[in-house]
Amino acid sequence: MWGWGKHPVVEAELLSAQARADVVAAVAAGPLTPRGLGRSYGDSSLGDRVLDLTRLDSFVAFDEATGAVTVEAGVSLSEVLRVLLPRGWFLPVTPGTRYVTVGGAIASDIHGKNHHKDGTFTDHVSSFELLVASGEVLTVSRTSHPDLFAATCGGMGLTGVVLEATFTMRPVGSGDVVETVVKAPDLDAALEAFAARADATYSVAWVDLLASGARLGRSLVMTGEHADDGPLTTDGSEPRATVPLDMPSVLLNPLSVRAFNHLYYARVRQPQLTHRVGHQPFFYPLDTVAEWNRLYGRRGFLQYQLAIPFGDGPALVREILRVVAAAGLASPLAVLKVFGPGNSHLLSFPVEGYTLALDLQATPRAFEVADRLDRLVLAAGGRLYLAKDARMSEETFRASYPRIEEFEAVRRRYGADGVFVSTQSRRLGLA
Amino acid sequence: MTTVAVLGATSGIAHATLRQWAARGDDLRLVARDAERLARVEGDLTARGAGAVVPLLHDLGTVEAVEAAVDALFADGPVDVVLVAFGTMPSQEDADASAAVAASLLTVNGTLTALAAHLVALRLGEQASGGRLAVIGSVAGDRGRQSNYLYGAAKAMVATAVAGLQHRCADTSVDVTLVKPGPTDTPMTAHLRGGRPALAKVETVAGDIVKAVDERRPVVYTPRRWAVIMTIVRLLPRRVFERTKL
Repeated sequence: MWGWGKHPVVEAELLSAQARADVVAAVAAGPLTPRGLGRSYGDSSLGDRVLDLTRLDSFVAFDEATGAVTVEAGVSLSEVLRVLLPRGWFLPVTPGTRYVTVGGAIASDIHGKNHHKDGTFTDHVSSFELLVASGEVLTVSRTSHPDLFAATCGGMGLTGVVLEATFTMRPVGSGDVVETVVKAPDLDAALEAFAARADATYSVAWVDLLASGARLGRSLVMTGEHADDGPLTTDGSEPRATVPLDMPSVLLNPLSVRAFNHLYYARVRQPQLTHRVGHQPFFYPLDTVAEWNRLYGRRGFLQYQLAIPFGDGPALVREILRVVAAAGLASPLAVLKVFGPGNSHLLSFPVEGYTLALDLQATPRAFEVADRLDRLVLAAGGRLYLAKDARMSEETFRASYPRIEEFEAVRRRYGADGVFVSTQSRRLGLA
Repeated sequence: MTTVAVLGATSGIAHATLRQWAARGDDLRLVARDAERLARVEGDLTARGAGAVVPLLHDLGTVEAVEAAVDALFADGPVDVVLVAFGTMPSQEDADASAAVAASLLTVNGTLTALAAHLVALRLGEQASGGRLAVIGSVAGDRGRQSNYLYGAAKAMVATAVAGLQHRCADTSVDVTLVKPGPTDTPMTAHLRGGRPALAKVETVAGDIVKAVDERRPVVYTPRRWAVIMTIVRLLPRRVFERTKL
């Protein structure tokens, strides 16, 4: 069994919950790892005993007046969108794939292109039902169990099993997005474009990792707003193609990536382009191809996502791009974004500043480079995203998540130690 | 607005099919025996956009209960579509160990299902607008196999009853569809998983049921490949067939 990055691969006993009673029984029977659609990249949904929750897939309630929706933890964001977009509601926060569960979205405290405006997914969650180690089901909110709320949002499934959750959708007039693409010839231009367009609801930049010298950090900065009118449907957004098998890893080499990046950048002809696109290509371009992770070959890949405070940010981003380019670690997928203020959840990833995400083919060289990057990130007061991590050391983790001791205290208080575990939690030295 | 009624509404296949009808905004009348599960299904369908949802508690294990449930379905006015989807599937080992389990398997999946289809068809025939009836059969009913012939025998009875109803209703505005799902990934088949990677997705089966009812098709295998597979299984000479593990 593996995560989305296909590294690492572990032997696991896989249990499937058909109903709440199955979850209760599974927790009573021994240590386990909750799992949704398995889209975390590394080892956070892996363990010796893994409980698949995707069959807890019922809606519980929807309030047409406020947009508050309650669903079971295994419902995917794709399903929420499919059911509620036709009625004029969009997800409050969405990551770059629709194929994550609501339980997973809470566990990873996911963010999207609107983080600078709207925070993380759990900032829009009002309460959830959590099965804790004692077998009790607690209704957890900011007021009823503030400690458990702060620990579970971003807590990687290590405090209990979320059974259902209530969050508030965003009213929209259309499923379409009015997108503006700005060509930024170097990193300074990209950061300026972010600053100039700070009011945009959504913003993100694709970075050409292979551009070097004066063109280091060459980017396409994309911003978007929901269109006021237009189609309200998710029809036609199902994957159109599937990668049928693990591709030979030589396909992704510096030459092919350079060619792709060049074409991708040149595709936009004018310095700035504004057009209307569907929500599918704007938010989920990669969902168009099912199992795209196979493009990285059997060895799999690491996704390295860091967040650093504004402080030395630009210099550090430049340094990281230089290290990756110099190492010849080809990856067409590199994404830069500005985060707004972080929230009070104990292991939540975003910190106000810059975030950079890179795919690296899981070669021995990539692990060495990642270790080097860790030191740079730590020195800048930054951290790595647990939902993508497959390799950071316990020391790096403890040094970069300042509220880890509070998190451990909450886990101890609710008996979660040794009950809700994962390959990742063991690697990171959590009880 | 369409009104859809389902006997056995909390079964995996019925629930998935109801989600598609709910998305259309249909009014729903739901019969099931477990109050808590029925309440969850009701909440799910309401949130997904169903019109009025009426939950009805009946344990469809006796003739009287089936009669009462069919009465209840039609008590609040005409029904456009009825899906008969209740059933049980104990393992062959449980049926081997207990005559009572074997008899109940035959009764619920055969006698009572055929009875329900018969009673519903009569009611639909009394409605000015007629109506559509879909009954869940099974590929298991196409040929008795060592691994589940009791369940198969019950479903063969249902298939024969539906064929008779189709004949009887041929010149009326009542249409009857027999649905024959292959092994489907539902709680009913949870014990089959593991050794059986090829279980059909319940959403696929649900989509085929909705379409077959819309198109008034007499028989639908779902997923479609089972029509081919079962033709071959039916045609296998006995000597070859008896050497298989089917």
